Amino acid sequence: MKPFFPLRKNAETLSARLPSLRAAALQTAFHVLHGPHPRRRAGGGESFWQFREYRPGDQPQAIDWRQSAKTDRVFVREKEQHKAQSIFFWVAGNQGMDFKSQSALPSKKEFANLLALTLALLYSREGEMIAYAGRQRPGHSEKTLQSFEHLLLETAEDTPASAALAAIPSHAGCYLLSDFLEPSETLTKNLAPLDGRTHNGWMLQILDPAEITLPYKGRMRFENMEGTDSHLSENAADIATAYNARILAHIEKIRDLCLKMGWRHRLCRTDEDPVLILRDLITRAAHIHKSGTI
Amino acid sequence: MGGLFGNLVFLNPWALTALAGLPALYFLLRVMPPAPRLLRFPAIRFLQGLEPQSKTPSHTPWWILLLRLLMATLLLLALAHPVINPKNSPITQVQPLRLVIDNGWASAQNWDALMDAAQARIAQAGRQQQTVTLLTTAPESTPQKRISGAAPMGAGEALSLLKALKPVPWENDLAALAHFLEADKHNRAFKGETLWLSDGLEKPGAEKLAQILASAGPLALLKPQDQDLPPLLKAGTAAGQTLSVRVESAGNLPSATIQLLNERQQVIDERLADFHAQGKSAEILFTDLPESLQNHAAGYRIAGVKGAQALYLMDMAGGRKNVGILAAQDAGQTRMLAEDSFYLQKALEPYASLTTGTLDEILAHKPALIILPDIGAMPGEHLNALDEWVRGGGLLLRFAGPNMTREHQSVSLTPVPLRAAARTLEGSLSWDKPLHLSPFQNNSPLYGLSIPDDIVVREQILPKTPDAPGLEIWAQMEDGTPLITAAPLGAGMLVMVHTSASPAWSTLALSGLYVEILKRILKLSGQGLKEQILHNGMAQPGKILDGFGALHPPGAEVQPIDAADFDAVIPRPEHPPGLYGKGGLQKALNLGDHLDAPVRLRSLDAVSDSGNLSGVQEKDLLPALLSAALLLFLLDTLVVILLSFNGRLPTRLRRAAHFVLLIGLLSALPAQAQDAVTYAGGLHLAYIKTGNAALDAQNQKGLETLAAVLGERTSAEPLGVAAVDPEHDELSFFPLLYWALSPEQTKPSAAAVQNLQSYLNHGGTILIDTRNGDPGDSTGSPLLRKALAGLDIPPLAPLPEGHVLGRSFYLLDNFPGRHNGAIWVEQQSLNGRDGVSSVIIGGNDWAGAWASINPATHKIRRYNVQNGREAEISLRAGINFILYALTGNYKADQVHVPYILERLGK
Repeated sequence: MKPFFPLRKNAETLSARLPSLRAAALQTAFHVLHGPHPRRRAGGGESFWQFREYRPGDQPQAIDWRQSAKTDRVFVREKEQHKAQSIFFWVAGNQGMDFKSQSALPSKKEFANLLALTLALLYSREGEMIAYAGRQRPGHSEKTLQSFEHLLLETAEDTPASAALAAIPSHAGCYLLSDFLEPSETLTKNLAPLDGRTHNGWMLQILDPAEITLPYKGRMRFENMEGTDSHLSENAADIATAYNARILAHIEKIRDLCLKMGWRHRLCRTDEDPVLILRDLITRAAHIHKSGTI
Repeated sequence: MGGLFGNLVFLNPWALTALAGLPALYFLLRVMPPAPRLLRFPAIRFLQGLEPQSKTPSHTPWWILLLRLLMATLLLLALAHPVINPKNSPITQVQPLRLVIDNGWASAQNWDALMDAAQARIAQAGRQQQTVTLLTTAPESTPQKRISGAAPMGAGEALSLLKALKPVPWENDLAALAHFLEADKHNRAFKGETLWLSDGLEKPGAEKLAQILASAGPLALLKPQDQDLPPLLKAGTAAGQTLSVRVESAGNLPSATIQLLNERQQVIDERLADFHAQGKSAEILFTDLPESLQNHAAGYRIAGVKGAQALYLMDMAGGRKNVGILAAQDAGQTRMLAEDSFYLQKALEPYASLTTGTLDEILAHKPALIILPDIGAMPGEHLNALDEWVRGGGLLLRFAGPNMTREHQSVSLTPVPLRAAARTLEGSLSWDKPLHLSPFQNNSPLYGLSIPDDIVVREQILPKTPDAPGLEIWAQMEDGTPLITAAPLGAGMLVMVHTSASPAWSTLALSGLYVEILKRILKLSGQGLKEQILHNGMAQPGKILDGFGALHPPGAEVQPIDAADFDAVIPRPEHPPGLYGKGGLQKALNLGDHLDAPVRLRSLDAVSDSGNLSGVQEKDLLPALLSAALLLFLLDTLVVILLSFNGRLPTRLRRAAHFVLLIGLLSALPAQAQDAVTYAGGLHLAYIKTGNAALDAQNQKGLETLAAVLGERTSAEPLGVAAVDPEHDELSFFPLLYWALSPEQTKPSAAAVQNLQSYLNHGGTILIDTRNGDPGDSTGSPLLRKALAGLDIPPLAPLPEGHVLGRSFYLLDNFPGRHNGAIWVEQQSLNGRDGVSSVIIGGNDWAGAWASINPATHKIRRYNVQNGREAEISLRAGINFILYALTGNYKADQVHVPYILERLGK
């Protein structure tokens, strides 16, 4: 297992450099719904909702003695139910995600983990519930965050599994982080359970700059990370343009797929500053708040 | 081709034509694509089906190309089989080979080159199936040992014979060999080719030998180059007066260093003989050397030159002279400082081996010098014996004295008849003042000695006839009266000092001049004796030179030389050069004295092929070229492997690299040994590393504080604090180990347990600190049990009242640290360590307490320890622990002091 500490530390550092979602929302001058969203019914919230006559089964602590003393009946003080929004994350963990073209760059997996955990931190500070899709119940406690981090480091799934996505309730927020290099048809199929259930999803496509530009020269033998497939190129420099066109077309396909589902897509290159990416995401998330879906 | 490569010949020159193919290879290598670089790439799916427009811009790096071309070139050159300095092309008609080797004295200098040449030729003969006959030119000590005349033999046998061959320290005898071959001339097996390995010097009979050898077949001659011809040493013309030697050179040697040797062949001094300035023959004088060094001179040597001719030995070398002192008749009395012989012994002891006693005892030691101090009349037979000895070459030195005047008898065996009474220069009835010495005349053997002013002579015995014929006066007083006289007697000499050998009559015996005079006289002694001995009877071999000029004990074949014609003896097998003689008297037989001036060998008509000994070796370049090509091939393979990994080493190679790194780290182990030396050098406080950095730092700090306080208050002065790892470190240097347990303490490894157990068994003490205030009950806390698992610790008990631990320095009832809990030690009655506990277990976190104390002020820096008193007590506890470990139960007696005091009080 990779060290526990650095990822969390990096995420904390990163999140400290970012405005909170609320601040970002204020910055965009929109009053947005955030944090616990009142549900207009009795529940475990903070604010008073109504007095109700005591029924067997109610906790004695809930009895409002002052109100009860006014009459002969015993009243229970009910509070309005607040329900937090749940945000589900999923990060691809296949071997391909371990790729980095330069030693100075983070691997795609590291980059994705950092983005995911920072987002999770930001959300949980706002009182939202976060969870790793299919692996974790939503929560905003420190414990949830810790086990979330463990799941980030341990889970190794190639493509979003339908089962995991099926567990995401409707209207929940959803972040999928992957390189999405698999054929778009596979992805469409896997994402089918989510189609129409929530429009509040993000696909963050994490790619190494080398995967976009193919900056290699000479005779090269390319091998996939598992070592199961290989391709011999007599002159890598010669095919770079064609490759670039292909990969851009693929990214376009993924973007289309997102838009079709009502989701948002962002290409994240590992040589980008994660702060900029996150700022961008937060700003756009604020617009979404405005639209009221989250 | 000349110059650097000598004669370079290709045995298979046709192979060189293949070099023309190299450009083709060049293009071939250019066209061949290099191994593809391997890259792990996730987006490979998008690469499938992408075909590049061009395929060939990839090319081999120029240096790989160069490497491979060089490899091919080397391979082709190797195939062409180049040879430097090839020998003659193989002989079609196989003839027997005759190898004539000069092994006389002159060969020693170039013996290695000569042997190399002979071996090379024999090896070649072996390859060509030639039989070999070995002939040597110098006569052997026994006729049977002579190799010449040996039957033709195989190369292997010839090689082993050759290896046994050594140069001999005498002259070659070419005429004898020529004669021997002449007799064999009509034999059918006489035909054959000859290689003559000459020493390069002209010898009589060389021409004739060459002719005979040439009549058998082709004659090749190898000789040393001119500058390698050996110089030789001969007696110097000034040899009688001073240390001198003559060096003669045959070649064009620019200079030679001549060394002066002592008896043990150690160099005393050296001088340079410059042949440019002085010609081929130079006389080397060793003047202005201190006399003490001159006295030790025993020979000369030419530095760096091998051979018997390069060592010139002096006569009389070796051993100190025997000197006999005839003791006075009443010598039994112990008036040491008044005894003449005492002064003589003291003066001569460093320079001669002394015999003191009766005449018979003295003569038995065959002295070169006999001294008679203050001896008057002697029995007739003694006089006769002495007379005979002096006439035989002895030197008799007499000192005057009261005994000579005591009785009115004639004193014989003096250089001059003496007056009966002594002349008193200072006395109650004399007007005369004591006399000084006048300077030595230049015909005196004592000439040159400086005379101190304070020497005075108060009494002397005067000769009756100072002007007697043959009388030499070596020293005289300022009034002209003789002090030392001498006269020859037979082959020997009589010397008389006309005053006493003790300070009785003069202060001469108290001065340095006395010693100098005796040394001069000692030097004169023995000359006649030597002549006498060496002219009668046989001089036995003492030490003999070998062919290389080293001295050895003589072998059985060396025969004594008749002393009468010693000078006529020429060194030969029966009489090799060396030292001959008897006892300490030895005469040198030097090779150089019997040699003519060396002359370079002139060219002989009969020789068909002549060359130099050195630098003509055949050198086959094939193996070197092939090795170089193979090396390049390996290099190329390595490069290809590295390139194929694209700079990233696979895991296994990385592991190998780690292994190499580990080896490098292991080599840093001597540093640990250095630690051991440090720890053994003095008292160190030690704690066991816990692996918890904070705890270790606290332990280190705490013990440092304790060490400082110990050094301040007690005579235990720790040099430092050591952190030890019981698994690896040697513990025996430390009297006490402090072991702080942390909650994460694990069970120690087997090696650690073994090491700790051995430490405890051999008298070590461990202070175990659970740091939680409570070490537990008699079964120990779980933490303690875990830490001590596997250690054999005797039953423990809470610290009994009055235990030594509470008395070892301070009187303490409890041992607080940050906590103040119970302490457990071994039950005293049970252990075999004289009542000293091997473990002390507590939980008071002492190191924590000590670490919080400022050692300079003993004040607490932190809140851990509540007040100064507790800090002080915790330090005292620490001091008691250390001193308990150091002194054991030494203070146990004090346990009883209260009772003793109580009793005294009553």
